[in-house]
Amino acid sequence: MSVDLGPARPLGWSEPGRTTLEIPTGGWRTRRPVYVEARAPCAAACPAGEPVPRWVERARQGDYAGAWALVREANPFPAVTGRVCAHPCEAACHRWDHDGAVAVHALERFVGDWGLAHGRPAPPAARRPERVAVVGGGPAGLSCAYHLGRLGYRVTVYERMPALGGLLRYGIPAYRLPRAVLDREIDSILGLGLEVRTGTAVGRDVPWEALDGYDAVFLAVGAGIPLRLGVPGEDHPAVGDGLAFLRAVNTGSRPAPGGRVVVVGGGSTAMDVARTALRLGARSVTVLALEAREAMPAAPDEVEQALAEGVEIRNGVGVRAFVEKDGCLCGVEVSAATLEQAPDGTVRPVFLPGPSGILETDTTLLAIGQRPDPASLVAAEAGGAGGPVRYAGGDMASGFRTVSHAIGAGAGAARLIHARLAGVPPEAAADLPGWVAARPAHVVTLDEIRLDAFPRAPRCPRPHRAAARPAGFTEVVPGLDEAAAREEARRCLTCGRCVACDVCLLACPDMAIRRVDGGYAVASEYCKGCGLCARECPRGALQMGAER
Amino acid sequence: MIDRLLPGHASCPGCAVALAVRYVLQGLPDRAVLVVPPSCIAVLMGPLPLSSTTLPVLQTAFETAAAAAAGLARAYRALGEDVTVVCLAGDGGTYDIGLQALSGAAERDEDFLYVCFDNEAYQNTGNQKSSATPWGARTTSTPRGKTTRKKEIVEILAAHRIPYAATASPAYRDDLLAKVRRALGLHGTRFLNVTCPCVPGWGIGEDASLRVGRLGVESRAVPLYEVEDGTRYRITHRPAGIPVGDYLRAQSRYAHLTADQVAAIQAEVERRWEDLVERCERVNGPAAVDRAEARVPAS
Ligand SMILES: Cc1cc2nc3c(=O)[nH]c(=O)nc-3n(C[C@H](O)[C@H](O)[C@H](O)COP(=O)(O)OP(=O)(O)OC[C@H]3O[C@@H](n4cnc5c(N)ncnc54)[C@H](O)[C@@H]3O)c2cc1C
Ligand code: SF4
Repeated sequence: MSVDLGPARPLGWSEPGRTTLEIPTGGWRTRRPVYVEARAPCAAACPAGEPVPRWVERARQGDYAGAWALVREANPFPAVTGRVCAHPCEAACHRWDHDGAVAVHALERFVGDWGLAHGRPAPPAARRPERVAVVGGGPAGLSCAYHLGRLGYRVTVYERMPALGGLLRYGIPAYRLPRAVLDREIDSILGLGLEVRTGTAVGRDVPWEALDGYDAVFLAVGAGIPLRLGVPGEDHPAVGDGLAFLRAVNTGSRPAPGGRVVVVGGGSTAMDVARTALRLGARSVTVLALEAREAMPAAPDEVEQALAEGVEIRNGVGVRAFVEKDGCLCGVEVSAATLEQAPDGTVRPVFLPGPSGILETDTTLLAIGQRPDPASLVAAEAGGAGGPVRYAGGDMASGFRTVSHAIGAGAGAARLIHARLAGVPPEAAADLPGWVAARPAHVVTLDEIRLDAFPRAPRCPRPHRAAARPAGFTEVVPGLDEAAAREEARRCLTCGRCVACDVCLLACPDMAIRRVDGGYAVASEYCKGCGLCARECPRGALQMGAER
Repeated sequence: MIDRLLPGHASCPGCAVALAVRYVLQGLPDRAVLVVPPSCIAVLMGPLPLSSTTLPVLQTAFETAAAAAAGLARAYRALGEDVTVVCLAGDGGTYDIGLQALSGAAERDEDFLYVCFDNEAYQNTGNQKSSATPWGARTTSTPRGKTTRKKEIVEILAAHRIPYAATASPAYRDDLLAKVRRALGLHGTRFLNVTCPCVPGWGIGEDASLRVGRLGVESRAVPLYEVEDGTRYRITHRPAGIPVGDYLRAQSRYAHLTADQVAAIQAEVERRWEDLVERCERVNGPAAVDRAEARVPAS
């Protein structure tokens, strides 16, 4: 380090021109500051594995193309997940107790929608010779196909239904996920040049052995078999399957569940069935949930919107029987109950002592969950012997039945398949500049964040348009406009990632930190290892390590 | 931003005085001369024959910083040269040993900026108490805690009716630099007391001086304010009003305090804060300070 002493020169007792630069105080040091890129809690919580702070940083800079590209490094469906994901990222946000979590979910939707309107997907890598079969065109299968397609693999997607999307298309209603959004996101995946065979069920239209000709197979056929309650009267034809009802609505038929509709279940599916029934003209809709209101598996805002639309929710009640009179289903016998988790993970009711009542109904729809088709599990197990290794993921292979888990599972399977076929280790190091050390295993803790460096700023409001007795399927929750998105992106603390804010540079009493190409370097000859820079770093991107 | 303090200096690791000097020097013009009496700043300025600053330094005897600065400023004026004279002193050389020279210079309104880096004891000679040491603080010469209160040095200087007197903290760099700039825009004797948490003397971690500085300010133990012409008071940072115990517990020099003693310090902090708020209001009218906000919350 050399310093121009300029016109002024040391006066008095010091020798002209001689300075303390001659003294290498770095020798005092026992610890050294290291710039790191650690894992932000939101990114660690994201089931789809998105590098959240990185893309939010781009959005903050107004570089939406960059933000979109970074999201899609992990997740090809940001406009979908920006609408339907339960966003565990926000629950993990270090801003939570300060002034509210960053609205990552709303930002993701903004970036996803920007991409649908303006984005140019990156072209795939050079074609590879290996062929991979993906069975099931839901989010898990499409995520796997997307990641392999980008790497240049020849991918064939088999889908039983006439169109791709899985439960995104045949389950989730359009008022939460407009079909134009879904279609465009799927189109952008298909732009990679995937072969798609819709209307083709493996095991029915094509034999399982047909998969043996591929170099690898990914099974993601979902969990399509509805669970039943196992109570008297359940086999009556007026006791319907909620998912079949949604599938019918989503394929264009307009079943008219007139009269009084009862929906059994407390999850996302139950809310969707109830709100869809309301939209199709049901006189009243009552949801019966075993769980207490705040313990329902459905997301709190879905519950809130359902109530606003006029759905009645009864919590802490279980169904004892369906009551039939002259061949017609006339009521549901209910009584107070709590729930118990069976060892296999399924829930069952525990009825409390007390009288039961009859709830009058014209149509009852069950929405208590699904299980995978055993044939698909057999097919997954059958892989390997002689044929290609089979991987499985998504709802069929996991108890975490969400869209983002399915997307993450598809991406994970793609990494494993690539590692196997191309011999590349599954975790490639992130592209970081030389002055930053990757610490992907370290999740930034709250006490590594200096919240007092961040003035409180309120989280953006998220109004919804849920109104009593909605008639159509227009989207209920509007997106953020650009100004609101920029404002919200500015709230991100960017945990575990240097944003060149100069706090460390200014906190060093020994002037040992210098700017280098967009970042910083520590002058090892002068750093005394006090740790002030690391302590002052607002976001845990500078940490003290042992002196080598 | 120009750094006029150089690496390689001899301050302790994590020294807040070094940091505060760094900031003050960043705020100075190129044509400036420093006057330094014995203090941690003298240690910082470099062992003979080296200097740790790009500016000229005049080292003086302990009691004569203000007198030497007065002479220098007058000499430059006689030569017709526009040179800013800045004293960098410690609390020993300001509150105790140099007070007479400083008072004399202030009364004559000599033209220099005097910055006291107040780490609340004679820290480079081994942590003996000074009149800047607060009540209750343990030093090597007050092993059971100091029994008298800290001298209100800014009030003393303000009482000389000098053009500018202010407090500052290295933990609030923008506020500190704004005050340096404000002072440099005026003529006459200008005074800044910068409270600097001391790693060995206060018993805090090497990485903690800025954090402890923030606790001091946010608890109102170290209010940030300025006084123009000895009368016009202004609070420059509205503190959060956290309990002073948070500030005291962060330092081992207060580890022996009982709960009652901490409560007494809290009461004293509140009394001083009320007093400051009243001074602000007296000259500026109640509108200048939002009283409801400025009051210490009942906790
Ligand atoms: C009504 C409803 C609402 C939901 N809401 C949400 C929500 O808001 N947020 C959220 O995160 N999750 C939600 N979920 C869950 C989420 O939709 C699923 O977890 C996710 O779709 C699982 O993806 P997948 O790809 O594993 O399976 P699926 O989406 O079920 O896709 C499997 C695909 O495989 C096809 N297939 C099956 N067998 C074969 C075969 N033999 N050959 C070829 N193709 C076959 C199926 O037709 C289907 O297209 C909801 C689910 C439902 C039912
Ligand atoms: S603040 Fe400066 S001296 Fe202290 S550890 Fe950081 S670089 Fe080293």
